[in-house]
Amino acid sequence: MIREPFKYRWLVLGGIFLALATIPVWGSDYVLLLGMLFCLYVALAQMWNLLTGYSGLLSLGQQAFIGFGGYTMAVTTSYYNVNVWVSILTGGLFSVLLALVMSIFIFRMSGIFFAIGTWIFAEILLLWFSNWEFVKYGTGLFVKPPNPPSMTMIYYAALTVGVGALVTVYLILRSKIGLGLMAMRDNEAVSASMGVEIFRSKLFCFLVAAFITGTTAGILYVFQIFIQPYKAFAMDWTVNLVFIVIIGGIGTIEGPIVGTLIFVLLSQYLSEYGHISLLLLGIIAILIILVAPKGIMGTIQEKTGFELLSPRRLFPEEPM
Amino acid sequence: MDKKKGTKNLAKMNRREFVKKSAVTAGSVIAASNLPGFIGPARAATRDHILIGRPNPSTGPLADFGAGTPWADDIAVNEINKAGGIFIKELGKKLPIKIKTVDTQSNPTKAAEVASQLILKDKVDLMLFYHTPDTVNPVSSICERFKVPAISLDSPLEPWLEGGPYKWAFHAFWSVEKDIVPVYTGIWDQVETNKKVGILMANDPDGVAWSKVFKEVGAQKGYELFDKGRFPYGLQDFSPFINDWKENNVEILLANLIPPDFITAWRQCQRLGFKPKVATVGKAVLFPSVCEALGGDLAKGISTEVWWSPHHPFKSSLSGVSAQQFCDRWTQETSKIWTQPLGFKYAGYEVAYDALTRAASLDKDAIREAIAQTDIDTIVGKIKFNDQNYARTPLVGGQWNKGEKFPWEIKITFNDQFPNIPKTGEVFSM
Repeated sequence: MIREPFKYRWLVLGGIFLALATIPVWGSDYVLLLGMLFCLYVALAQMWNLLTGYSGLLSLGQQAFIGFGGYTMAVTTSYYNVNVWVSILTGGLFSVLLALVMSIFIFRMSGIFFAIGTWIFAEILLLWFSNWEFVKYGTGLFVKPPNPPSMTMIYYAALTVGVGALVTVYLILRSKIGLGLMAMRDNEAVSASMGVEIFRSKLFCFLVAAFITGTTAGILYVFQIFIQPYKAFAMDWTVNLVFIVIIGGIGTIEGPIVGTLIFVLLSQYLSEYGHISLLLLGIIAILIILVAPKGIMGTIQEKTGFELLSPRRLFPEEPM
Repeated sequence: MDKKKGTKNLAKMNRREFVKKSAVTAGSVIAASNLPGFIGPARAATRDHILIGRPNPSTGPLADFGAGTPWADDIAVNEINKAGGIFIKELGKKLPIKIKTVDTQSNPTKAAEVASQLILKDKVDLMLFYHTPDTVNPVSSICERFKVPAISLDSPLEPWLEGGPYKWAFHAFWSVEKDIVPVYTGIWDQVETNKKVGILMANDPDGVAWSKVFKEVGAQKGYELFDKGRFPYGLQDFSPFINDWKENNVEILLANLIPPDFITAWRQCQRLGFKPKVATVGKAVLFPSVCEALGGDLAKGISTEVWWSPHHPFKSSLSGVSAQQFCDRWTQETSKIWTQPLGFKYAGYEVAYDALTRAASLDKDAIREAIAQTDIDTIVGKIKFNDQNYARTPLVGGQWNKGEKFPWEIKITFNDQFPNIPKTGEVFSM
C-alpha cells in the first residue's frame, strides 16, 4: 500500500521554517521564548524517537547526556572562559565520549535491560556530579560565559539544533542505515540474517543522539543560567520526552514535532494552576492515548496517509 | 475500507468522534484567543495597573515555605491599593498594583522557566520572590538577563552572592558566616557538652555552604566536628551517620536539611538511641507543622534559627501594624500559629511599595535606581542595600517546647547580636 506523498510538502515545510527563522522580526519576546523551547524540545524528542521509535533502543537515560552536555558547557565557560558556542559543541563531543563509554557496557544488553542500563548510567552520573567538589557538589553552578549571548542568538542556536536534528533523522532514515534500522526494529533476527549490521547501526544512532542531545542541553543551560545536578540528571527529562513522542506519534518524524508543540504550550498554560498542572498533563496524556493509541501523527497517517516527511522510499515505477 | 468507515461516521457522530471533535474545538478556541498576544508588541498603550511577578514554591518539598503566600500577598496588595496605588509621573495618575503568582514546583529549572514567562509574556514591571536558594538563585539570574528589577528575601546571602555581581537583583536576608555561626555556636556554648558535633547536611546550596563555614569556624572555637559528607534529598537510611556519632560520643547535632528528610533522620536517631544534648537544625524545623509531624515529644528541645517572630520589635511601614498584631491576625483568620516566612512575605511589598513610590515611574531603570536607594524600616527590620545589592536582616536563636495555646511553640533563647529582640526563654539541655 503505497500512497503518494503530500504534494505541497516542501512548500509547507519551507513556510514553517521561514516562519520560525523570522520570529525575531515578527514575534514578541514571548513568542521567541516559546520558539526557543519548541526547537530545543524538538531536537531532544527527535533523538529519543530515533533511538526508541526507529532503532528499537529504549533509552531511559537521555538525562545523562543532558546533564553531561550542560555541565561541560557550564564548566568550560565559567572556569576556563571558553567561548560559549565552542563550549556548547564541546558539550556535544563530551556526550559522544560518554556514549562510547556507556556503549561498552549497555550494548551487551537489549530491550528492557538496555533501558535499565541507560537509566543506571544517568543515576551514577547524578551521584558523581552531586559529590564532586570541582562542580560545587549539589549547590549547582552559575553559567557565566565570557561572551554572554543575547536572547536572539540563543534562539538561532536553538533553531539550528532543532532543524539540524530533523534533517539528521530524515537523512539517516532515508539512507541504507535507516532501512536497516527499521528492519531491525521490526525483527532483529531476520534482519541480521539478511545482512544488516546491527551493532554498527545501533552504535551510530546512539552516538548521533548523544551528540545532538548534549549540544541541545548546552544551549538550554546557556538560557537557564543555573545548572544543578539533581535537576540536570533528573528522570523528568526522559519522562517529558516520552510524553512528547508518545502523544505525537512514536516512529514518525512529524510526531515529535506535534508532540513538542502541545507539550510546550500546555506547560506554559498549566504553570499558573499550581497543584493541578501535573494532574492535567497526565489526564491529557491518557485521553490522547485512549483516542489515538498511535499518537496524533501516527493515527493521522494511518487514517489518511498524510505524511510530510516520509522515511519510506517509493518503488521506481511509482510516479513521484 | 477507510472510505466506508468515513461515510458511516458522517451520518451519526459516536462518542469517540464527539470527544475528538470537542477536543479539537476547545484547542483551537484557546489558541485563537491568544493569537493577538503572540504577534508584535503585546503591551497596550494605556496602563491601568503595575504588575508584580510572584514565582512561589506552592508545591514540592518547599511547600511549607510557600504556604502563607496568598494570605500575606492579599493583605499587602489591599493596603497599597486602598489609597489608589502608586503615583506614576508619566501617566499623571495613580495606578493600583496587581500580582501574578506562578508555581515553581520547588524546582530551580522550573523557576527559571516561569520567571522568563512572567517577564516575556506578562511583562511584569517588578519581580518579587522568596524562599531558599532553589527559588531565589535561578529567578535572580533570569531577572539579570532580561534586565527586570528584582527584590528577593528569605535565602541565605552566601549562595545568592555566588551568582553575582548583580545589577538588577536585590536581596535581603542573613549571612551564614556572620549570623548563623554565632547564633548556633552561641547556643552550643550555653549547654555543658564535650564539644563534639555531628554534621547532618543535605547536598544542596545550603548544606554545602553551611558545612564548609561551620567546619572552619567550629574548629577555631574548639569544637570537634564529625562529618560523613552530604546526602541527597529523600535518603531513607541515616544509620551510617547516626552510628558514627554514637561511636564518637557526639553530644551536639548540627543539621541543615529539608523537613521530610529531617523527620526520617530524627526518628531514626531516637530508634538507634542517639540522644544529643543540643540539636541545632536549620531550615527543617522552622515550622510547627514539622514538629507535629515528628510525633510524640520528639520536637522538644530542638533549636533552630529565628529570623522573624511576633516578638521582633518591628512594625509595618504600610499600616503601622506590629509584628505581634500581624501574627495575631494570621492566627485569627487561619486558626494556625505564626510562621517565620510570614513577615518576610509582607516585607517584600514594603520594599516594593517604597521603591515604586520613590521612582514614580514605570521605567525599569528608574525602578532599579530607586530600589538601590532603599533605606526603610520594615516589619522584619531595617533594609538598606549595600553596593553588592544585599541587606542583612537580624537573626536570633530559638528552641521548641510544648506550648500553651498551640501544641508546639518556639521560644527565643539567644539574642547576643541583636539584644533589641527580647528573649522569651532560656536554653535548656535536651
